[in-house]
Amino acid sequence: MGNIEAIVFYLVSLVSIICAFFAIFSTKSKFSIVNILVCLIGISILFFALEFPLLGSIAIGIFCIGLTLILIMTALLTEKRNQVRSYKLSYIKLLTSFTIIFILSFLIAFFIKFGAFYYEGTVINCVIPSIKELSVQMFINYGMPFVFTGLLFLAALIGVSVLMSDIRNNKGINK
Amino acid sequence: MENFFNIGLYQFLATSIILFSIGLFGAVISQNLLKILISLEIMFCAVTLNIVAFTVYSDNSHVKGFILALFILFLTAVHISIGAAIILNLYKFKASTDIQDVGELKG
Repeated sequence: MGNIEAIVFYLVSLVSIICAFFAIFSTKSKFSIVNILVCLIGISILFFALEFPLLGSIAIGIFCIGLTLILIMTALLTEKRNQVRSYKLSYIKLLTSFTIIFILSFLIAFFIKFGAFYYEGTVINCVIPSIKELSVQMFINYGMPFVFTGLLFLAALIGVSVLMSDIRNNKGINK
Repeated sequence: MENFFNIGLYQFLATSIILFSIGLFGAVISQNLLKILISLEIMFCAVTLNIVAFTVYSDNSHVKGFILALFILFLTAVHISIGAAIILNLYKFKASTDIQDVGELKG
């Protein structure tokens, strides 16, 4: 890594650690969620810095989906009946800021990536596994873990849909 | 000063262990189920970063670490969705996300 990349690494690591700290210790759930969002996107940028752009992209996608779930859950939990309008407005602001952070993180990640490519004037010989190699490994050498992960996903989907249908039908867990 | 700019395995491991410690501390001391879920997510991400750093600096093919990190990310998504659904259902039943209010689930 060059000096600029080292500075970016220290900056991203520091921001991730500080945001993780504030995500745990902030009293308001919205601040906590914004902090954890920045922290996880920082970790995804570290994946890019480790020459794993595909994993970084997948991580950003999964973190954004998971954090959107937490965001919606928090919005539902903190919803007040007499403040529906203001709640919707703040929710739109949160989603807008979320989208902006998502785009900015991709830009920073590609900046780091192209900086790594052109650091010494020549293209670095990357050892990133290709999609074909990954698919061959997943379906042949890691076939069983892949199938079990798929089954786990299926069980999670069924469980979540059952739990959410109980909520929609105004039933609790013990009813 | 050259060592400061020479980023290697130890810097990534230091970041990972600090993040894992923050997540563990938050999971132990938090009274809110949502914050416990967030702490678990931080711990998962720290572990993933650890695995990827070890893969980059010790494995030539990078495929095994990539697939393991991918599985961990998938499991993170699963645990977030399940945890979110359980917390929402508990909130519907108990009207609270405090961990002290769900003590009946013990045993």
